[in-house]
Amino acid sequence: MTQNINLKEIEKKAYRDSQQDGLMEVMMGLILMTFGGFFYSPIFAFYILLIVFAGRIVEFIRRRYTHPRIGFVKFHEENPKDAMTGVFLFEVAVIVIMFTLISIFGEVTDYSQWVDWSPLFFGMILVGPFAHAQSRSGNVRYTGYAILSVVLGLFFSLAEFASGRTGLILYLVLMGGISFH
Amino acid sequence: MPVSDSGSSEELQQIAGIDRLIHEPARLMIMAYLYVVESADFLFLMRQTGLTPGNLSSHTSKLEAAGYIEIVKEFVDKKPHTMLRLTDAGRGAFQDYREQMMEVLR
Repeated sequence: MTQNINLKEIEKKAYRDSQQDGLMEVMMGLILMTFGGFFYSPIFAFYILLIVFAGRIVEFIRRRYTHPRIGFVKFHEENPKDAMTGVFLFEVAVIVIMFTLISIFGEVTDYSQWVDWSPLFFGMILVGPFAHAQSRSGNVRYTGYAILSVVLGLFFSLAEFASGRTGLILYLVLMGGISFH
Repeated sequence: MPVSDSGSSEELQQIAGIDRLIHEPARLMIMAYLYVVESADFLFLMRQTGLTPGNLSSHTSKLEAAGYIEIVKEFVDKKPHTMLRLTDAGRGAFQDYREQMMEVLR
């Protein structure tokens, strides 16, 4: 129905305009770029907190600096139970795919194999947030990012590095830089 | 052509039943925007609808008087901030309006 499509488009435009400051993308880019570097660090626990509270940090900055210019809008919240179930099922699916891939091309009990394939693992995990951003904003750019995250993840997993960790760090820095764009 | 049968007459009567308060283009834009979000501030609505502050204020006052929207004025960092949201009555009225328009334009 035309009326339904138009309302959906209005919602997508409102979402795009509310995100025009790019703060969330900058935050996501920074997290991705530094994530690999702190992955084996003792401060990684604090890093998890940063990821959990990223939305609130962005909201705090927006309240002070960007809302007075672009205005404030609050969207209907998704059902947290449905959202958590969706995230959980998606991550289980990614783990199953990784498990299958590694069992075909290597040995699942070998930890180094998981490290080597970690860029692809994160690449598939990133499909989730990119797909979510695409459905909310209607911006096809996010579909491109999702495809790119998997393709680059596969490339960095197959490429030879001094250690698997180097491949992951390089991959995350590159994806973080792309998110800034 | 004169309306002769009762079926056509009833269809035309539906047009008379359309909510005139919502039917006005500027107010329809405001209602549509507030329908798809939980709440929005005055500045955001102004930018989205392209209305001037005075125009937007005038239309939102009419919608508030009808009980279709709720306007909350607050202070954020000592600066005035006006939030607007659709009431349940407003949400229902907008849904009815959409259904009526779809029926009329079917």
